[in-house]
Amino acid sequence: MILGLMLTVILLPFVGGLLLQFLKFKDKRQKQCYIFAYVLINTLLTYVLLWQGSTELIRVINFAGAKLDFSLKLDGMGIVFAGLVSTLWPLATLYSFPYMEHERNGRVHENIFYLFYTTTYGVTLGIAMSGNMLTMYCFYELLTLVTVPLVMHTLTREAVLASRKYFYYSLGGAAFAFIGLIFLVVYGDSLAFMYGGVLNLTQIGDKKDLLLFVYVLAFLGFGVKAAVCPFNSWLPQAGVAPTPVTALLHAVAVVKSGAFAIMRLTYYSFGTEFLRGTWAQYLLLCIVIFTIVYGCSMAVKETHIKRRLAFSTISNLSYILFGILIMTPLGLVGALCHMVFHGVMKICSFFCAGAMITQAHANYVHEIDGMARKMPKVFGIFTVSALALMGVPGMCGFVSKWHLAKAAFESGDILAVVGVGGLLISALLTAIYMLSIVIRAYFPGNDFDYGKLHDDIHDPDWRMLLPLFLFVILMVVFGVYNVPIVNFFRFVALGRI
Amino acid sequence: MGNTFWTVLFPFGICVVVWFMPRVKIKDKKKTCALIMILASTVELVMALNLMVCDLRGISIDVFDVSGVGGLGLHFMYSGFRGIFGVLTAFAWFVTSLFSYEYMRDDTNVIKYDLFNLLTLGATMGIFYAADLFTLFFFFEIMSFTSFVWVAHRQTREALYAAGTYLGIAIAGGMAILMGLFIVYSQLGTLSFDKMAGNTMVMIGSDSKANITWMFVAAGCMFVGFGAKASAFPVHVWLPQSYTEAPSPATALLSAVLSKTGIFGIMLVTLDVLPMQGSWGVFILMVGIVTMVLGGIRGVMSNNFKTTLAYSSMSQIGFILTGVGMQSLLAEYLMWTNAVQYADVLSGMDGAWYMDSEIVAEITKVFGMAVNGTCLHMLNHSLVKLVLFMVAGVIFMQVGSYELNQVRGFGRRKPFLLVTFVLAAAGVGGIPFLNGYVSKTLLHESIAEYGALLTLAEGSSIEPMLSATSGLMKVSEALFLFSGGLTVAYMTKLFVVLFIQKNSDKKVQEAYDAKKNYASVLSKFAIGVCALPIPFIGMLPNRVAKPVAEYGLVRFGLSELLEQQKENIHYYSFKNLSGALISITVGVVVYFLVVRIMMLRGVFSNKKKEGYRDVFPTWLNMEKYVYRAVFYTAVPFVLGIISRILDSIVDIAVVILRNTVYSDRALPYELPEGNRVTHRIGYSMERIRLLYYAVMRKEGYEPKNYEHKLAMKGTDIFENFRIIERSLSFGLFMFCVGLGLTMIYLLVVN
Repeated sequence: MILGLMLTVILLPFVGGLLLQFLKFKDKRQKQCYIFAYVLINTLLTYVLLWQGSTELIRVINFAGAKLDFSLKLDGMGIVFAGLVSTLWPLATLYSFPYMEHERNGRVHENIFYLFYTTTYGVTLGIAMSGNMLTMYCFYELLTLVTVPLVMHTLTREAVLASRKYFYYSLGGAAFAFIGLIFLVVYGDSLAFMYGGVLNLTQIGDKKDLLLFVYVLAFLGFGVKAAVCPFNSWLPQAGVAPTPVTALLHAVAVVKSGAFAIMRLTYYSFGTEFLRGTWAQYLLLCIVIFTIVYGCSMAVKETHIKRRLAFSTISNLSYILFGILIMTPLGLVGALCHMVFHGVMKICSFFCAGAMITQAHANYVHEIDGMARKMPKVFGIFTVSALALMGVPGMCGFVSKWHLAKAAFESGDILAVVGVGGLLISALLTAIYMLSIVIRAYFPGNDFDYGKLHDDIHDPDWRMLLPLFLFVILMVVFGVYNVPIVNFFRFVALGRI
Repeated sequence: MGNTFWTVLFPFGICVVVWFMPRVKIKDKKKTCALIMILASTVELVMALNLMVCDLRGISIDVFDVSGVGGLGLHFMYSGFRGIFGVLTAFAWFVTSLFSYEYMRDDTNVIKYDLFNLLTLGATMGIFYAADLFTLFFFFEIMSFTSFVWVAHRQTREALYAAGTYLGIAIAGGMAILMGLFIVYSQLGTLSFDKMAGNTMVMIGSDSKANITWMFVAAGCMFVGFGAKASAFPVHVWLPQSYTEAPSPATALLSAVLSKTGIFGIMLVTLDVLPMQGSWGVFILMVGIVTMVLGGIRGVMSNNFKTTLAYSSMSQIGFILTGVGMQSLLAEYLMWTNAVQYADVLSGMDGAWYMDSEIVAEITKVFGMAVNGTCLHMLNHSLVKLVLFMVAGVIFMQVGSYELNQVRGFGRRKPFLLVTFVLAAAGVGGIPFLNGYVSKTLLHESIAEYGALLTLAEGSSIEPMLSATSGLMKVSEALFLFSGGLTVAYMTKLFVVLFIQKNSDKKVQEAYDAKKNYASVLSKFAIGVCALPIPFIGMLPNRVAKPVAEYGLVRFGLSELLEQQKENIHYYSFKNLSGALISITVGVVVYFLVVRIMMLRGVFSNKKKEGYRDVFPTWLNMEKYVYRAVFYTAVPFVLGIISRILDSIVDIAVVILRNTVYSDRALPYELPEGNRVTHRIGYSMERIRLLYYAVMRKEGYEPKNYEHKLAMKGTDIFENFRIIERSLSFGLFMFCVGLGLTMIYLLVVN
């Protein structure tokens, strides 16, 4: 029953997308209804699944040998990720309808676009529900394959270049991750995800340094999708994709898959017992702390709004990785918090940027002077998301930062404390790059001529605004009252679910 | 029945009403908004007073716990000190909203202004009623963001520039506080003000040096944040522009209330995070002295009415910080001498020294003076700055400028303006019988007496334990009196400009003299209400000032100290008056030297300009040449280079790989004649020949075109070969070769 449901939610979006190619619709409205219907049904089914839960490992197919099998499982960590993805996907789909009507090439390849867009949904759920490393690796590769066409969508020279880069980077990264997989097969008791790790210490013997090296390789391999410096340059470039793709995939699904895979790798395969206090941890911490500051610095310099947000994503993803690398349950709480909260904040700010693009054709920071008067709702929401990203108390960004810093101080590592400094510098830079947009929109200066703005610039229709309002509510609710969700994360991080 | 939480929440609630103002159909929205503001701040004032009355009647006001909000939950509490500043905040908002009724009448964005004004009110109340550091930080951040709108309000280029600096420093400061918060939480395990000091004392007692170092780091971080709001020395750079650019009622609030939130934070750090740590006290004392001297000097040298007041604000904050530093130093002294009370703390350390109770009582008395003086100077400064900035607002409404040369002579024949201005200016200048004299005397006494106490400790085992030296105290005292003189000097400057001198343009002066309706009744009322208490505090220090200060302190957890300090201080004894006289003399000298000679006569500067000129050298602008230069140019440049390199590492690797290992095969290159073999051989032969000529130093090199020749040869051979290939003889030849091979095979294999 549960297995059937799991396979259904993974495959339904793909099947729905395939049918879309053959069905004939009277008008675009009907088509959009159809797409939204199957995405929503999939989300509801996923919710049923999450409600039921199944921490047991379900074997689907066994390949050669006892270790290599295709298996699914839905433990706490999977619930968090699947819950995040399944909540955001219908909203993003709703948002994408008006957006794609504006997009160049939007009408031509629309069916193909939605095929891949929804297939990615199933694949991402597959990553969330993978029961072992092999299964996750398969879905992980599949994710690269199905998202490349989405980046390429506009078929401009830029887009083709960006998608090619994305493809190379991802495949290269997966190759490194594969090395990790092989070593797990050899030195692990099994490939399945077990809280605390599966390494067989007697078998490792004196090869600890080798295993650590492999861990570093695998971390960086999965880290390519999580845009760890120096493997980050694909992410800003991939911003040429339509905004629903950038927002959902490059701020949530794809990049969070990378972070999620690293969580699995660290806490469920190698195990923190093995890794904590080793040179591998410190090396990676250095890289991650650098990425935190680096992403923000680049965002401050960037004037293209979407690319600026992409750089911001790079920095924020490293917050998550930083939490993971503290390698204590508390650190994982911080990482999970930021994974979920950042998903909401970033998708919201991206959607606002998308609204600016479709409504006002404003791609660059200097083009939005005084725009807040024309699009009050969009900029109001953007301001909230900016405050949340900065981590102003009372918004969700603060909660995750709080937990990360708390974990860092409790771990007692001096490097972790340095990392907190990095987080705060990053918060300051975040304030600069987000608020400079907000201030330009609200305070263009008293010599600004509002007549210059086109009269037809206005807030977008409800399909774009509804998701935005929901995100704002989520951001504030998570920020103000987050005890249940943080407690849930705590259970997950302690391996109880 | 008082409730701290609702007092904090009430302005936020009113915000919703103001938020809907643009959406409601009312005839005069601006007027309605202004009335809402007045009403809301009146209600807020009543609520704050109600809390105080409840407390005075002995009804206990419990800690209010809003659990779960923001993770840690918000906690509010009441104490005397909090009560006084809560009332002061509400009062300041009340008078400025009265004043804004006229001042903001012609403003187009008044609804936006009012909205953020209310938010700031709520946040400020939240800061003063906070029961733990997290709640304080929560509201501190809100206040920083909402007050940004004040500074940016006029939206001129200068205002936006100033607002940018204000926000940048506020956010950086907020982050620094957050860092300090994390450290304190990890070290002490609590953020509650009730428990923090105790936990730190336990930590000192256990003598773990590493942890104390962490506490100092935390205190330093928090100092950056709180000091930025208070405009303490290295982080004061936002102050002059922001104060000048914000609308006058907002400036009054920035100076009267918001700077006090920073001081409040620093006091909490001094008393709770690092209690009894004298080295921290020395640091605060030094910062305070630098701030007061620097602010005073710049105040004297400025030729802008409002900027002078802004620097005056900075200077007075320096006085207050000096008091905070003295508190810390005296507390340290007290700990070392009063070994009975602090036995468990001192047991872990060497060199504890017990003095007789008389000296303990003396220290306690001086300590009480420092605490009283700090608290009182905060109050005094708030009142005075409310008056002065509202006067500045009146001037701006009529003149439209703050330039001294423009406002010159404006105050002539305006008795109300004269009385209020003189009360406030002389009050803050420390003239006897006005409020500033009382608080400055207390602060001065605490420094002087501490110096005397230090000589008592000389040669004893306690001497190495104390952080301050008597030399430092002497310098501090001298600079304290000197800064007092600076205050007198710049206030005299403003007074003379406004009320004595005539404008250089006679028509303007006539217009100024003719103005009788320069301010509405409401505005005058607002100014008058603030000016009224000034002489009372000054003339009846032991009746008015002392109870107020003590009410604040008893609930500050220092009641047992004040038990011992019943006697009144003789403010108008010769000893205390002489301090004021020194300051006034210095002030007069500085006034004539700097203002009359340098600024007005133009000695040492450009003589062509008429009237007052700004004589402060522009290249000493810290904001522009240090902060902006470092954070806008130098740091991004260095980081940019590093980022560029790292950003392209992978790309470079890819390019290198592509050009070496993974290079595509070269496209087939069509040779004009011959084939590759002939081309290569011919080319090399040509080169060899050239080399030969060069080595042998032979003259007359001419290319022999080997390539061409070989190509022709090659083509010949190729043609011939093709002909042979097609001929019968070739077939026979191949047959022979085949037979030969067969034979060899047979021979070898068999």
